[in-house]
Amino acid sequence: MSLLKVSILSLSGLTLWLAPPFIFSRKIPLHNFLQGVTLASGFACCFEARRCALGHAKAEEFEALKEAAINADAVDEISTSVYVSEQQRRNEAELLIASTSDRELLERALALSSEEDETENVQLAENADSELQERILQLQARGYGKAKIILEIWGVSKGGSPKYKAAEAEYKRVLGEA
Amino acid sequence: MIKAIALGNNFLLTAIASSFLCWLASLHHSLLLFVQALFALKLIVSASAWLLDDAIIAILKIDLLQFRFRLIAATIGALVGAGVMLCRS
Repeated sequence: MSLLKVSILSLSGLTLWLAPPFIFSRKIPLHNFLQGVTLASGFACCFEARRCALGHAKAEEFEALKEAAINADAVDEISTSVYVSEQQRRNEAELLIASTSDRELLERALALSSEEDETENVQLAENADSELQERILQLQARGYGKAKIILEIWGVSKGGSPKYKAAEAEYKRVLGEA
Repeated sequence: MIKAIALGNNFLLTAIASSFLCWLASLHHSLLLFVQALFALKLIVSASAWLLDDAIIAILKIDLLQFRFRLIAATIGALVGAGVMLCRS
């Protein structure tokens, strides 16, 4: 609309400037007067057209600047969201890595504790063996024989029973260790 | 487009003003002298502007090319406007 108005005003100014000098005669006073009036009108039309055109150009520049600002805002927002999501992903990855290391630490601690239990069991067994061996040696010092010692410690009398055989094997193992 | 129209209207304004001055000059002998003096003044100002272009563009804060374009357009517009009124019937 503004462009149409500017165009019409410009054409009117051009017409009012160029047409009257070649239509009217300068020798007739009324024609001469009308030439002056049309020239003034043409000047006014061109002045208004120029004013409108400059205003429209300024508005277009403002719109272009506004659009550029909106685009810049959108780009900034997108880049910010990308940065934030990247940071979130990085934090999640770091948490995951930290939890994995925690798990590894727990597994390592569990492994260490089970190793300690095993050593404790071995120690207890060794202590039991040494106590048993000491008892056997005390009984031998009293003059007890093998059958009597087995009867005294394991409560199994001499014979071919599996219990006696197991006790005899234990007796031999404990003394064999000594 | 709209800027080109604005520039064209600048040219038309100069030309119409020049034509109007020529029309005024045709009304009376004393007005003719006045208009001749105005055109002479315009000529002097234009010549000075051509010579002092560096200082003027520093004051007006415009490009040198733009300043020269405006000077040439104003001179041509004034000449065309005067020519139209001289060629009238």
